Amino acid sequence: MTNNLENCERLSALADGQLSEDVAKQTLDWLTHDDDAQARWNIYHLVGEVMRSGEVSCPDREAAFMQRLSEALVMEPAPTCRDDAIKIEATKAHQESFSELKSINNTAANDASFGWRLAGGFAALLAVVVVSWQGLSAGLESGAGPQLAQVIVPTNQSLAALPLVTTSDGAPLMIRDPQLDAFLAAHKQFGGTSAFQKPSGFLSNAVFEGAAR
Amino acid sequence: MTEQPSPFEPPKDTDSDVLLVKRAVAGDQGAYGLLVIKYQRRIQRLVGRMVRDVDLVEDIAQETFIRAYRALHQFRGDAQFYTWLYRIAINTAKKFMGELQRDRTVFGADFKIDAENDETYSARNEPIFHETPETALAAKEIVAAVNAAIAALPEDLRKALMLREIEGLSYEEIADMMNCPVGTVRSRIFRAREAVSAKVKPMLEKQTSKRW
Repeated sequence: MTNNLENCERLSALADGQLSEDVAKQTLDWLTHDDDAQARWNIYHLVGEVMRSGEVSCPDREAAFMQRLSEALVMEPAPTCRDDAIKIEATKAHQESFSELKSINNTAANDASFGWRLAGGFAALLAVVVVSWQGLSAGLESGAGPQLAQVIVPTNQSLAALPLVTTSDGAPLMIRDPQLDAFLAAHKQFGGTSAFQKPSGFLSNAVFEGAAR
Repeated sequence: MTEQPSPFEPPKDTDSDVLLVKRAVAGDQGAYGLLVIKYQRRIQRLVGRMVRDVDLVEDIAQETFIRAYRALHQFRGDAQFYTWLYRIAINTAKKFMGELQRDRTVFGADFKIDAENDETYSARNEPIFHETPETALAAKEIVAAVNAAIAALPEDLRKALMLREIEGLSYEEIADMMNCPVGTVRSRIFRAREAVSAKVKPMLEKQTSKRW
């Protein structure tokens, strides 16, 4: 009994870190193998915690927490084998992260909604069909009209066949129309470029330039 | 004549935590269990400043101790064991929060990251989620029993215990303040603890006596 009291007093001092190393080791030997000592160790620290913080967890919760933790720690390799364990853990973590990455790459945000994916695919296909149909029909319609390559460019031979009005000395004669001249003089603003700011074949040819005429 | 060192003198280069760590690293898992018993309340209180969900607090605390166990061989004793454990707990809590932030409905306002730097923050007056009335009542009863037992202690025992637990003074410092030998301080603190334990122990009987 006396010996137990002495040990308990040492345990109290150990909880405060107030034992010399040798005595602390002896007390730890007793503590790690004695249930009653462990219960005291727990209560001593509980008392200190209540005094400092004024709060404590429910004993049942604490017991459940300790039980879960001890079960989890049993699965852990001893810290002495940590170097090997860390390598294994690192390899395992690498493999896990790799497989996780693969699963991330293989999954899309809308994986869960197959219906929406189907609707999206159908809409894209419909758009392609509509655009293709419009292009095809436009091509058919334009095929009915005259093509630029089909316009017959007058050759020198055909031009030579046209009658040419000339003066007596053989110079080409410009046919003058007084009404056209009066019209162009009155509407000079329409000369040169067209009102659409684009060169107009007809108007550029019909421009009225008094000095040059 | 050389003075014989007292068995209760504080160790020069080591403390009980370092001894327990050494034993745990050598393969004695029970030694690590004693460290868990010693610090699990402080760690849960620390995490409880950041997380309001008590289930989550326990998960984070458990992960903290598992991580600490895995890294135990790296603890050199340069810092206090609790300081080392504290950093692991904070990092573990942040990791948990990062994962839970994806689900705001679970996470929401439960997490207060500033609590790490806010020592004045206390969750005491805020509602605790998932704490049943029964568990809350049991915890309150223990606190009340401890406080009542301390109040009933003789003055010298109460003072010695309070100087140790609240002020964190060493036995030598307490001896100076109380003007008594170190051995007397040790004895007073022990007797005070035993008196409080006698009141509290029946309330803790529900716990399994063997944990490790």
